[in-house]
Amino acid sequence: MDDSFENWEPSPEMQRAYEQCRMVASGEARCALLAGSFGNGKTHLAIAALREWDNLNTGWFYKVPDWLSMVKRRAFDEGEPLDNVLTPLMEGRSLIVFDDLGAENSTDWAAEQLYRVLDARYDAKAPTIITSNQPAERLDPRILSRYRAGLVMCLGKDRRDA
Amino acid sequence: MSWIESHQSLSRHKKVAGLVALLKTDRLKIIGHLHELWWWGLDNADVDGNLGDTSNEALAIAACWPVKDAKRFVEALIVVRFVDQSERGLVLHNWYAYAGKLMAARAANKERMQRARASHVPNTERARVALPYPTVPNRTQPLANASKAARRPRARLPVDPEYLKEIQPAHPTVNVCEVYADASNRKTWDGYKDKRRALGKYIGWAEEKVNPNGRTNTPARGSSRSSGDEINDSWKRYAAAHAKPDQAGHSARPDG
Repeated sequence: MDDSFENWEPSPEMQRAYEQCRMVASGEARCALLAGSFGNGKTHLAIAALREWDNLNTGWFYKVPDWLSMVKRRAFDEGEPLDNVLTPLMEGRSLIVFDDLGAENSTDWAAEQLYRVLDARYDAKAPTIITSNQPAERLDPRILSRYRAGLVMCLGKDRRDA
Repeated sequence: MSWIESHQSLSRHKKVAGLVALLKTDRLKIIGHLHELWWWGLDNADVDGNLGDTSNEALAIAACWPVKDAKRFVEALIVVRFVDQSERGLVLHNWYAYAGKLMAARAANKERMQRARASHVPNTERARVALPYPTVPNRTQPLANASKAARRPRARLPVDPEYLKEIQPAHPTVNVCEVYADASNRKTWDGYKDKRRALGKYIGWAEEKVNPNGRTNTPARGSSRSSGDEINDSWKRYAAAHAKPDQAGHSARPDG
């Protein structure tokens, strides 16, 4: 993960996303919700913001499907109280990136845990970057409503094709 | 279940040997008869072992000794001093030391428990009086003068109109309010934990009905992935519906 703002190739379509991530990294904004088709650099910018935040020392990067699977494993297989797993993320003062929101296999339980964490972080004004390459309808409208302030449309072309 | 002390020394005690000699019977049988007598004494003697006006025959029956030989049996017990003859009648020898104090302790315990229960009962009664809660209808009873339909009301989806307005732009092909009304009339939503999510699924079905080849709100697992354009269009619609987002830049970098 050597993605950073320095090796970011600017493009007009992604300029707002770039600026929003820089603002989050510097503390000027509390959230970024990078939404749009795949391959246009959303995850790159999120990781770059994490690097800028504290050089990857205190921030966290989670792929949402992997994170939910980790929560399930700790809570159900290892018997850890669910609150012990979730609370550190709710109280977090460091930047957390939730990558690929909406890509998870969404059950009511998973949606609820995700909402609990993101809602708590919203209430705590904790810095959070969310990326999603799913249609808006696929995402929990409660989460969208809370993070709408940082919504940036990422309409750039697929960089992986380049 | 009550119990008595039974010392191993009894088996070789001179009193038992005396009874064996007087009654001309087996030592083990004597031990058994003595235990039967003492067990009976737990229920029939007082704490000092007084048996009152118990007859020889009654004592023989108590000890499982042949009644016709009751006199000889009781006399032998008195001779070896397993039973004492007093002015008030027969007395089990040294009863208080071996069983009477246990009986006293049990009686005291019983009394203590009765007192404890007695002090608890009023609380329970008070709790009973408090039920059923006057502000909550008793659902085990049908409502008086209620029609059959009114007794089984449908649980309407508890989502507020503002929420419906909020999600309408994301579902341009259907009227969310109509779908909500339809969903409320058709289904009972009690079993759904997340009502909004349940409504979302219902809207998805309605969308699918309008446009079978279009997207649904909650695509089935394994359904084809939305294309990049579809995703972007979806977000454009969403952004257009929320053209005035909240303040994007309110600074909130926490300390630490």
